[in-house]
Parts: sequence; C-alpha cells; structure tokens
Amino acid sequence: MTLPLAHLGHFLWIFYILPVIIVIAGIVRSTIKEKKSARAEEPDD
Amino acid sequence: MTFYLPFAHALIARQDLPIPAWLFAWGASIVLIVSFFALSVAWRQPRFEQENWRSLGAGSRLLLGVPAQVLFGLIGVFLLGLAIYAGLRGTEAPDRNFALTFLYVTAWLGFPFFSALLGDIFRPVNPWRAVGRMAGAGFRAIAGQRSAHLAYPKALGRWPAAIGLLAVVWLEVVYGGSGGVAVGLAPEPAATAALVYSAYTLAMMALFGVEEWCERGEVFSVYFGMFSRLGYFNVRDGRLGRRRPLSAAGCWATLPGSVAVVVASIASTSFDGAQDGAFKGWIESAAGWFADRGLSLLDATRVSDTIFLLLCFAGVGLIYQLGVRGMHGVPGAPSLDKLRVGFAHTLIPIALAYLVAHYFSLYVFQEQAQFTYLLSDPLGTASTDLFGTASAGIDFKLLSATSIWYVQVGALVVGHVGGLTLAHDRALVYWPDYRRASRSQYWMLAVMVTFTCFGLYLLSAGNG
Repeated sequence: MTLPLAHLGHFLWIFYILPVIIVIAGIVRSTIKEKKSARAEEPDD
Repeated sequence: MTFYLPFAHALIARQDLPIPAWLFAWGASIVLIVSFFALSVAWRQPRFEQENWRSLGAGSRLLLGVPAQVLFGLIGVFLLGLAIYAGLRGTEAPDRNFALTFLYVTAWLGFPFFSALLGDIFRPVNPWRAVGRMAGAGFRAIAGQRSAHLAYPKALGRWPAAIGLLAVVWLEVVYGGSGGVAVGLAPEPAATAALVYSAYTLAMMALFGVEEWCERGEVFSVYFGMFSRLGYFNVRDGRLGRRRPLSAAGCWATLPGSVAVVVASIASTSFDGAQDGAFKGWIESAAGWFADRGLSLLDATRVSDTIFLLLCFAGVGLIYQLGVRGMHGVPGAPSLDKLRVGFAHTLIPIALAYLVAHYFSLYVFQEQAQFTYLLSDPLGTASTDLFGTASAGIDFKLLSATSIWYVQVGALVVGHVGGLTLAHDRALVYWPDYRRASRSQYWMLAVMVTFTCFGLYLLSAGNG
C-alpha cells in the first residue's frame, strides 16, 4: 500500500499559514486574559 | 521570430536549499517576533518623528542649479522619447527592443530601488515635469504672468495615482501577460501607452499645476516619491541635505488615497508573483468559466486576471484594515481614520521588500541587456552598434537560484522588520505609555507575519 502523497505539494500553503495562526492565537489569548484581569481588578459596587 | 521576456517571475530555477522553503517562513516569523519583543523592551521613545536634516553645504548648489535642472530634464525627455520611438519603430521582439526593458525594468524597478537608498532621484529627471516647467516658463515669458490653475479637489488626494499605478501594472501583467497566452506586451502598445500617458499628464499639469499634479496625481512621481521617503538625501528650501533614513516616511500618507497607493504597490507585486504560481489554477478556472460563457480565451484570461488583481488589492487592504481595527481596540487609541493614515507609511518598507524579492534577479539580468546590446542597438533591428556592445549577451550565471532565494528571504525579513520598527515608533506617539504602545502593536505584528509568510509562499510557489 502506498500513501497518497502525490498531491502533497498542493497543501504546502498550510505550512506557510501556521505561523500566522500561531501569532493570531497568541494575540487573541493575551487579549482575553488582559480583559479578564481588568474585569477582576474593577472594584465591586 | 518573437521572444517574450519572463517579466512575471524573473528566472525560474531549482534552488539547492538545506531546509524546506516553508521553514524559511517559520524562521522569518521568529525573527519578527523576536524583533517585536526587542522593540517593546528597548525602544521607548519615538525616534523617527524628527528627520534630523542637515545641509550638505555649497556643493549641492551645483546639483540644484538651473543648468543642472535643465540638463537632467533634457536627459529624462530624451530617454522617454527614445523609448517611445524604439517602441513604435523598433523590432516587435520585446527582449531586443529598448522600450520594454527601459520602461518596465530600468525605470519601473530601478527608481524604487535607488530612491529608497538615495531619496527622490526621479524628480529631477521626470520628463513630464521638465516639459511642464519649460512650458510654464515659456508662458511666463510671453504673457508676463504666471499661468492660472484650477484648485485641485482635496478629496481626490492621491487616488488618481493609485488607480494609475494599478493601470500601469495591468498593462504589463494582464494585457501583456494574460496567464501564459502568448500575447506578451509588445513594444508598440507600451510606446502608445507612454504617449497617451504623456498627453494625459501634461493636460493635468496644465489644469492643476506641475508641482501639484506631481505631488498627487502623477503616477510615477507619487510611486517613486513614496519609496524616496525611506532614503538618505532630500532637498529642502532649495538645498540638498541628508536626513535620518526612514524618518521622512512618517508624514507621507497625509493626503487622501495614499493608503491605496501603498496597498496597490504590494497587491500588484503579489499578483505578478501569484499569476503563474499560487493563483494559476484559480485564474485558469475562472478564465474557463468566462470562456464557457462566450468570451474568447484571450479576453476570458484578461477578465480573470483583472478580477484577481483587484482581489489582491482588496485582500492586502483588508489585512491592513484588520491590523488597524486591532490597534483601535487598545485603550487610548485615536480614531480609525487617524490610525489608518498614521500607520500607512509602515507598509512602504514592505512594498519595497516585495519589489526586491520578486524582481531583484530580473533587474540584475535585464540591466546587463540594457547597458550592452539594448543601448548599442535600441531598435533591435541589428542595424546599429553605437557602443560596440550590440553582440553582448546576458550572463545568467551571475546569480545562482540559491543566492536569489537568500536575497529574497533577506529582503522580506529586513523590509518587515523595518515596517515593524516604523509602526512601533508611531505607536509611541499615539500611546505615550510604552506598554500600551507595545500592546497596540500585537496586531501590526500579525500583519507583518502575514505579509512575510504570504510573500515567501508566493515566491516558493512561483519557483516550484
């Protein structure tokens, strides 16, 4: 049995988009974290 | 027999890389992330808001005097005239005719490259400005007064230049290229376009004034002038001086339409790189769809190419707009419009990086032709040998495919780090608290990483 690797080249773009996804995920995560901590610091009425 | 230049991607050859090409995108992204954190820690005051301009002294008078200006203007007019004449009267073979290499390689690529280093070197040799100024001087001498001009509509800003920029690229890569259909941009349409553009430009200069039109609507002045803002030298109050490189970019985008100019520059280079690479399959599918509906194959390809060129423009604009929206979410942010205009100059180093990455090898190889057989035999008819170099050729071994790849990667990394630095510097103006300024730049980091990876993907797909 051979793996269907003939068209692997068509999916190389995934390797190029991964750094972008990682950076955006990091930004979204840190933004959510900052908003949560800002909410926690707000004094209770 | 007709030859066609490989304008779209320069030369395509296999590289001998120690790691897969996509790993370079990862490496470049890591460089950007490290640069981002280094800027956040070490760069806490804006440094590019002041140009630190210093006069070069009396020597500059020789370069800026009337005789020199007339001489430079005449050189520009002569070269444009020669290109038009060669295009109309010379051989149809683009690689043997002076017109195409001069217009689309020597001038179109050379001025951005050298302007980014030296400053606005196009201004003194701009043939339309020279003719316009001579006509203005003639009018003053005859009428005894300055010619009156219409007030330029403020809202129009640099939009005519942005649209003109896309039109110039369209002529080359869509009308002339059309995705592998053997049309190629022949010298004659290029020369005709240059004539039409000359008439249009001179008419606009007559309407709105020479300097006004050069600042806003003249495609080449605006486009090359944009890159010159990165350069070392400039003229102020009639004196030549030096300034801090990159520092003049910050005040470039104040006119409406400036964002569109720099976005059009990145988009057109992206499209040129993707036309026969990353987007080839999609463009062919779309062309097939149009052909099925009755268009000829040539028209279908051109319509499809045009759509993808506009999609590239929209895509690049959207990525930038997302970065601006991200910044807008940071407390203390100015309005969206102010952010959009205020950070547009950070895209100029990216536009330059894309140009170098995509056309560096084409420029090196074609300039060998330009300064040997094309100068000796401008018409390409084998009837002249002005400098004895008409039989010279291009040395394609001058650059290896691997060295071209390293230049491409290096240009993209340096350009994006430059953009990131300018963005960080501008953020410190809008958010005096450096922590907030750094926080605002998370999204510009994402923009830079996106453009870097996209650029490398286009190059690797084009070479594949």
